[in-house]
Formats: sequence, structure tokens, C-alpha cells
Amino acid sequence: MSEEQDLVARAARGDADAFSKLYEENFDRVYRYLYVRLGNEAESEDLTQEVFAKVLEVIGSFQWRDVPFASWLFRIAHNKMIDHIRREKRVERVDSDETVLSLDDPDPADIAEHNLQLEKVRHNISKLSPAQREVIWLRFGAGLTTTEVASALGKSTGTVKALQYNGIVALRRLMEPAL
Amino acid sequence: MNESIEDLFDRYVDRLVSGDGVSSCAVDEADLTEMLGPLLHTGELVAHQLRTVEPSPQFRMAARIRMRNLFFAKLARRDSRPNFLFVWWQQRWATAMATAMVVCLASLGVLAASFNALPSGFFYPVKVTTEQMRLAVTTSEYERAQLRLEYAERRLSEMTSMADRGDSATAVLLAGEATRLIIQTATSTAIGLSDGGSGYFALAPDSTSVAVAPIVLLNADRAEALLVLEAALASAPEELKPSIERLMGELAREFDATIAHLETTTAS
Repeated sequence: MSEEQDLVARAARGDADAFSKLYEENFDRVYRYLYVRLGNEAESEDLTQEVFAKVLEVIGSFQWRDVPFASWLFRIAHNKMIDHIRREKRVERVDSDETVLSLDDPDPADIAEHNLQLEKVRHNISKLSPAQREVIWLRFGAGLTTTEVASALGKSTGTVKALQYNGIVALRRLMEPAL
Repeated sequence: MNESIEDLFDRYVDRLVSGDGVSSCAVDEADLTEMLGPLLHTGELVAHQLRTVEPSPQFRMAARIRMRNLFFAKLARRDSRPNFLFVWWQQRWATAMATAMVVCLASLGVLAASFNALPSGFFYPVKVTTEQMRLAVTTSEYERAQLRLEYAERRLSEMTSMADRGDSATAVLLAGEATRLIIQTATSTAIGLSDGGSGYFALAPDSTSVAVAPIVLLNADRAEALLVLEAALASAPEELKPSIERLMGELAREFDATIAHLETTTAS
């Protein structure tokens, strides 16, 4: 049994320490995944909490069957977000509100510049095909491995690698004037 | 060359998403440098920009407390303790139902009876819903801060009562709820602290067995809540200071009593 499998098994049995580790390891990247997709801080915060509440509720039923924990977690995040978008009956926002960025220098001008850059990247990603977008978000936004992305999306690793490559090629073209 | 261009690119992306710069991804195959180099630069830019997104410290703190409360509520529920209403009242849809219930029950004098209810009691949801309704209809930020401080004091008193009854899981929930109210008050516009806490405690600290986790968590909450209150006292308007000082005294007393009780029961 791998270390992660052991952690998940202990968390499912009600071990606070194990659940805490899984939570801390994944909290930021779930938030990041939701934020880069929704572009709204408040909605991303609500959904992040809903995702982990759901994880807590159903972690007892999680079975490995060669599905990594991160894939399972991000399927929950993806489904929560789709439910949210349907509920709100709106399209994903391309423009975003201001969010807290991990900048060492809190100079407002730097923050504004970073927000602008981030929005350009989000805007260009939104122009990709849905499958390419999903791969880029999970791979570059959430930091999942190719295997985890493939498992989360129910695709082969070869397909994910091709989507990733073609997605970056398309992004390169879209961003070329700025590069 | 056996590796496809997608495979090769993926290997370099692995390095990019783990934080390495594009310079560390020197393309080994010289004839591919021209093709992959620009793509890796694009990949690096995308990874870098997306990585700048982080949750705010306030949200991280509040979410951690809420998660911990949910976790211990689940444990308590699993142990068949009758505090399921505590979780139930937190659900959004419950507010509407409970509002209707409060209106109905108000005429029966149930509100008065709920004032001293504990989380294990039948009328506890009435108590917390009444509190939420009072907060919802209060428009003055100062009055809302006063109310939150008052509710935090109630949670602390309930925490001690539940520990006395041997329900450590619910005591921990109440400690978390009191701390959440204190942080909410401190970061409200009435006081205006920018960061409600030190980020000191995790859901449960490392190397802590489930048996002693409640005491560790209570100690962490005690330290955290006192830190926040001390900071709040320094920047609060004069009219809120007496309430904050009183709460600091109550907080120390109630936490000490609860922790002492749990230490006694754990040792035995």
C-alpha cells in the first residue's frame, strides 16, 4: 500500500491527522483550479468548501481501483463547478474580480500588472477547445500529473499528452504578439 | 528517437509544473530545440501566471475551522451522539425551514425555552437560528460585532457544558465556532483587522493521535482566539472594548475548565 493509499484509508476511518494532511495538500490547488475557471473569488471560495465537505462525506466510499486520489478529488471539484454553472445558468467568466495573489511585493501597481497578465492567460485559455482547456487547467493550474489528469477525465495518457501539446501550441499562437 | 514529441514535451512540462524554470528544461535533442523551446516558454508563462492565484489568508483560516468542525461533527454523528442538529442547522436550506419554525414556535414561548439549550438539546436549532436572524436584521456593524462577541461567549459556555457531559467532539466544535465568530468580528469593518489569526493551527497537528486531538485543538483555539482578541482590542473602537475584555476573561476561564476536564477524563 502506497503512502497516499494509507493516508486516504486512515482518513476514511476518521483519522483527523490523515484527513488534515490530505486537506492541506490539496486545498490551495482546488481553489486555484476553481478560480482560474470561474474568475470569481467568492464563488471559488464557496465551491472549495463544498468540494471538501463532499470529500469528507464520501471519502469512506473511495476505492482505489487504480484511480489516484487527486483524480477523484478533481472529479468532485469539476462536478461541483458544473453544477454551480448550471444552477447559476451562466457561462464561465472570462473577466475576473481581483483576487489575492502570491506576490512578495504588495505594491498595488505590481498587483494590477499581475492581475492583467493572469486575465490575459485565462482569456486565451478560454479560447481553446473544451478538452484542451480542461487539460491545461488541471495540468498547469492544479498541478496534476498526466496520469492523474487522464484518470480524472477518463482519457488515455496519450490523449492527454496530445491535448496538452496542441493546447500549448494554440496558446502560443494566441499569445504570440505578447511574447 | 523513440519518444513522440508529445511525450517529450510532457516530460518537460512535469518540470515546469513542479516549479523549475524553462532554463532547466534544456532540450536534449538539438533538432527539437527550435520547436520545443518557444512552447516551453509559453508553458512556463501559463504555469507561472496560474500559480499566482492563492486563497486569501482569511478564507484559508475560516475554511480550515469550518472543515474541522464538519470533521468532528461527522465523528460525533458516527458515534451516535445526538448532536446532528448542529450540522443540520449549518445547511443553507435549513435557514428557510427554521425561519418558518421559529415564527411558529415563537408564539408558544419556545424561544425563551431555547435560550439555555445545548447542542444535544431539541431546541438548539431554534437558538442558533434566532441568533442568525438577529444578525441578519442588524444593520449597524458595531451592533453586529457586539452580537458576535455575545454569541462567541455563549459557544464557550456551551463548550464547557458539553465537556462536562463527556462530549469532547461537540466541545471542540463549539470551540471552533467561537473562534470563527471572534475572527469574523475582528476582521469585520467595525474593527478592521486585515488578517484574523496567525494560521497557527492545522485541522489537526501532526503526530497527534485521535485520542488527544481534542485537547491539542482546544489549546490551539485558545491561543489563536486570545491572539486575535488582543489584536482586536488594540484597534477596536472604545464602545467595543469592554465586551472584548470581558470575552477574553471568559475565554480563558472556559477553555481552562474544558481542557482540565478533558485531561482528567483522558488520563482516567
